[in-house]
Amino acid sequence: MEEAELGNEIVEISMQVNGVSVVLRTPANRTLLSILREDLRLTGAKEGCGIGECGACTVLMNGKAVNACMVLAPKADGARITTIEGLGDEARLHPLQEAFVKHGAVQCGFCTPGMILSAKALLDENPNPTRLEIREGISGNLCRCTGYQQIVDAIEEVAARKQGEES
Amino acid sequence: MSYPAFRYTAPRTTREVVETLRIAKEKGIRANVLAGGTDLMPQLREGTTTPEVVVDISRIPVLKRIERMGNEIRIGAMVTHAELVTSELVREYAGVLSEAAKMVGSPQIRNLGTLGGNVVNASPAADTIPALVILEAKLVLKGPEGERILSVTDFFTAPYQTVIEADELLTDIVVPLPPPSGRAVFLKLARRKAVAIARMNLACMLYYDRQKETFEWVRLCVGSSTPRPVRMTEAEKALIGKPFSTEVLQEAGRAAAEQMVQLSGLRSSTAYKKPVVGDLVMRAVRMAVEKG
Amino acid sequence: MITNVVGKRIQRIGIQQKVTGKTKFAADLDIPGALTLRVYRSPVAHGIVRKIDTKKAEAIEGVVRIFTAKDIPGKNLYGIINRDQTVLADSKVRFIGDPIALIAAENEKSAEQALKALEIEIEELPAVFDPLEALKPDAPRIHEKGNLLFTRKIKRGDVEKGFSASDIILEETYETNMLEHAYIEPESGIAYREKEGRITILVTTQNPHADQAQLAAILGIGPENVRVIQTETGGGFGGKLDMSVQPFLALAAYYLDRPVRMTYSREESFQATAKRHPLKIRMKTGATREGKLMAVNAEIIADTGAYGSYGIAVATRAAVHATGPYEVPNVAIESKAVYTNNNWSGAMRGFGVPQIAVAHESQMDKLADSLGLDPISIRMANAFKVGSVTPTGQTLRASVGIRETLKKIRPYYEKFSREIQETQHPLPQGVKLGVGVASMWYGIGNTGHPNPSSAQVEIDETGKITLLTGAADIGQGSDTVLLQIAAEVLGVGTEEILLVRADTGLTTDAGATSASRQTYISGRAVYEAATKAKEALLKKAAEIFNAPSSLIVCDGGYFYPQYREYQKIPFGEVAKRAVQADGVIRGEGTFNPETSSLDPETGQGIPYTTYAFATQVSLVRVDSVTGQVSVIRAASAHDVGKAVNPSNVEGQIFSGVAMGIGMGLFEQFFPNKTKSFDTYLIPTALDVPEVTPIIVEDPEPTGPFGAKGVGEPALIPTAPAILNAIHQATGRWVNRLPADLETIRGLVPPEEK
Ligand code: FES
Ligand code: FES
Repeated sequence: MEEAELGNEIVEISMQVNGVSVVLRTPANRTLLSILREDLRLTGAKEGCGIGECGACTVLMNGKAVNACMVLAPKADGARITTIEGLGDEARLHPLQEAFVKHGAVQCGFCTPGMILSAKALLDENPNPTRLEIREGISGNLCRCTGYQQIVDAIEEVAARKQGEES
Repeated sequence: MSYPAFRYTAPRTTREVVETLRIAKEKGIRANVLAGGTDLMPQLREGTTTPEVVVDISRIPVLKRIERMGNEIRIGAMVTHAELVTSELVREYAGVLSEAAKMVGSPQIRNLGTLGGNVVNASPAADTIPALVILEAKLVLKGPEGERILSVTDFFTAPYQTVIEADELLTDIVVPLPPPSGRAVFLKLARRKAVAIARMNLACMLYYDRQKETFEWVRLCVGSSTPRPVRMTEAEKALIGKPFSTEVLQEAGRAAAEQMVQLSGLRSSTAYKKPVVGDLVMRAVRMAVEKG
Repeated sequence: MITNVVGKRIQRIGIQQKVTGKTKFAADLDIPGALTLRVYRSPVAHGIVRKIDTKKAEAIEGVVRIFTAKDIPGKNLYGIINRDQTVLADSKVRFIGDPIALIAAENEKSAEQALKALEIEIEELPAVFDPLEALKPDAPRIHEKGNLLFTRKIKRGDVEKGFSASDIILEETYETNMLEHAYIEPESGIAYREKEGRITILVTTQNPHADQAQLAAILGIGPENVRVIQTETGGGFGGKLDMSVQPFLALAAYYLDRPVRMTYSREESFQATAKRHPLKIRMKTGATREGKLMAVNAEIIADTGAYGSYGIAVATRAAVHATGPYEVPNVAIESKAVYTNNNWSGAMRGFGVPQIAVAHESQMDKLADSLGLDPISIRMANAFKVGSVTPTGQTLRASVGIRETLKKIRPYYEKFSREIQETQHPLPQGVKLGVGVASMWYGIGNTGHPNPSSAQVEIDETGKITLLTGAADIGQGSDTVLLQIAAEVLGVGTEEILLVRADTGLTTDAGATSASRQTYISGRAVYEAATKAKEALLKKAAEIFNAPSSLIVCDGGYFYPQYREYQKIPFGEVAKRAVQADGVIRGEGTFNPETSSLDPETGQGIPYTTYAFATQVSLVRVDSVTGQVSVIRAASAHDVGKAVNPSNVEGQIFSGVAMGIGMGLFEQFFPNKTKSFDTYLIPTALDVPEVTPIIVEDPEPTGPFGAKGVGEPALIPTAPAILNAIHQATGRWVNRLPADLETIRGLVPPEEK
């Protein structure tokens, strides 16, 4: 009885990943990022640092942007996870993906999946951000290539388009 | 990079958490409480923390509430920084805590990191702690013997050191409603504008009576400058009962700088921090007064 | 020239895959059964490895093999310019992080246990961390030949005479910071032995063909037995020019019948790979009362750390560019690269030029300040023009756009200055605003060395066009630009050309993706290849139309005789007929810009055929109380010859400004202290201002459609412009990077705050 309260090394996790139910058994000492990349082969989320500093591993957990490298795998039990693979594909790009393409907001592309997911979380919460708010919204995503400006342009355009649709 | 193996448990009640911690303590097993994970995860990677048991407290609903109870706001330990930023209650009655939470890390970190985690981790640079200090917050610790409540300033003993016992859980942060006359300011100074550890942060709340032209009361706390968070009492004294003037501000700044040096001794960073503390105190007080 | 594809904002190749997360970087590749590799690295800065006992580590379950220096079949010495670096230490270790043993294991966990179980004894030697100390005769000797790696001298005219003819002489010292490239993708690769025995390595790299040659030497096999395929590369900035995981992958694949993989953690990437050379610069500048430069004398010391890497190139570039883009009749420069026991320094965006620009641009503003000139006028008074002679004695013949960039920046300089004057709301106490200008020049390609590129354009009987290039696109966009050039020549769209790139098994050497050379040099090679392929088709079309080939038009995917568009025949049809008659069409293009080696005593020669030029202005807010500096606005004008893809050029400009802000204000790598992104801060979106990019096109006759390069130039003027703006704001000069909180706080005395 007492031992049981101290838990197990192996845990069962069930979650919704990009709308698909996933159940897996895994050692508890892993990150959500490694589950996504290694077990589910969803390699859109990247490891750039593993300590929550770069944002390359950003995914949406229950609609909120989080660093997947900072989420202990069992914490994701019961969660809804959206990765870049769940956003859109080449045939049907998400408006943010389309805008990133249009504005050339991508160079090497390593930061891009995380950047787009942060942008999505931002726009879901604040559909009409200023450029400064956009910069705040992506401030947890380091990009060494682009200098961010074309990224801000892309996100701003999607926001403006959304506004247009609503009014 | 692999993390050391450990057992994992996610109790549903605070009582179960405490029970688990108690058993671990009794058996001499290293147990770590996992809140948002933003401090623990990097420590696991670095190998500076090697738990045998990880107790995840994210499945306990009561730890996530923010409630007004009479003259207090009760904030569960698992409330995230992002929730502090958006909570109407916190913004209205403890705005300075909202401001401080907004300065933590990045949007992603704010979605994960919790107030309780920030407090228990006890980093001298933690952004929310100076805010809690000037709000005169109290911490509720639950242990096998029941609850104890301490003031936030009594909680910390040294950088990353607190009085919490291995079998205790921080359940709530209780913020007494500050007098409505108070005007608060939070300043953060870092090398970069986001995702940066504070080189210094400062929370200030005061009431300046314009009729009487005097500071009626002042609460000041400067983070990342003293071994444990304290009120800058000397600077507060230098202001209370005085009018708003450059000389008075300078005196308060000087007092704050001296108190900092007295508490932390001379370090390589003192050359920078000493004058900056003084100037920042002056700036914050001025900003608070200008808020009307 | 009217162009249809070149000069257009063509969508970046592969961008759809990048935004959908489909792009596979090396760490994303799925290789079933691959072993994991880990390296044991020296915990001491200088020492002799006395004992390596692998027994205990080898006994750990899951450990497959442990390699040490004695396992290296070929030469255990590599390096891109001078070979001085060991794959695994054979006796000496020279910095904290020097590799000693390589572990191949079934999984991460076993590899980590083995790392801990290795018994390695190192006799520690005295170490030296300061290049000036390292030059002293009694300093610890890091390499056999001594601690001085290289000296570059440039002498022209008579500096003493120049100084006597000067009305004002300024002598100053500058120090720049050690920087980390901080590409977001850490090093990663996989390797396996093919059935026929060839070792194939898929790896993130800027330099596939050089990797191949170096790996063949390490393995002691012919280059044909090594195939390097560049994987999608998540940024490089010079840091992926040197090999990282490649030798380890190659060595393990050579011995083991299993695929192997290796990915650096961020911590290992920081510890193990090159840094930007910190420079100490003493610069003496003489000018007339009117601001005309008369003489520049400079001494430069570059800390190359434990290994040479690109140290020679950095010392040379810093010397060659030391005057800035200005006419100076009398020049004496001496530049040294010195070994220390710090992390080794290598190539990083600009090879020494961003560092030296801090000196020459500060000198320009100091002169202007003393002489009462405005910063643009003093630069204009000295700026190169066609016919100017550079410090290496080269006469600039064309494409000298520096003056145009100054002209384009002047309105922004005035606008920003006006904004300061018109600022309505009072600034908090101690906060000041300032505007700063800086210019730069940058030679495209390797310095005084041949640096050829080659490419092929193939057309098969279906009309399918294939462009083969060895150039590695590391995110900057060379794939797109090279396709645009080929498409323009062939009169088709980029989407009609298949690209095969950066695979030593399929493509020929295009040289490194460095020195801003791919658009200019590989671009020209592609231009040549496409032109040759087109000529073959024109010949066939001429036959078909029975008209001279000079009168055949190739455009929009069709061929037709001039003025008879109604007769047009599709490109594919002509191709089919041509291939049926003569076999597959293959246009071979090469280009090697004219250079000559620099004289060892005087540095006279032709280091580059062409140069890029730029001027930048920034508006900066200085908080003298906290020491925080923020760049509020910037405009940057770049003479790129021709912008093959303006979006890409602008992207480079934004990128350069961002990186320059980090360099100028807060980036600094402390050997053995800086471990990851928590302490090495690079700019976030909030640290970077809105930037106005300005493209100047002064065509380079030898470049494809007039193009030069922009990758590195984008960075170079940023940090000096910030320093000059800080001066304008505070009246104080900063001679040492970064201009961090402490520096700025200490700059302004309390009474001025
Ligand atoms: S990999 Fe998760 S934040 Fe960098
Ligand atoms: S595009 Fe390379 S890091 Fe952002």
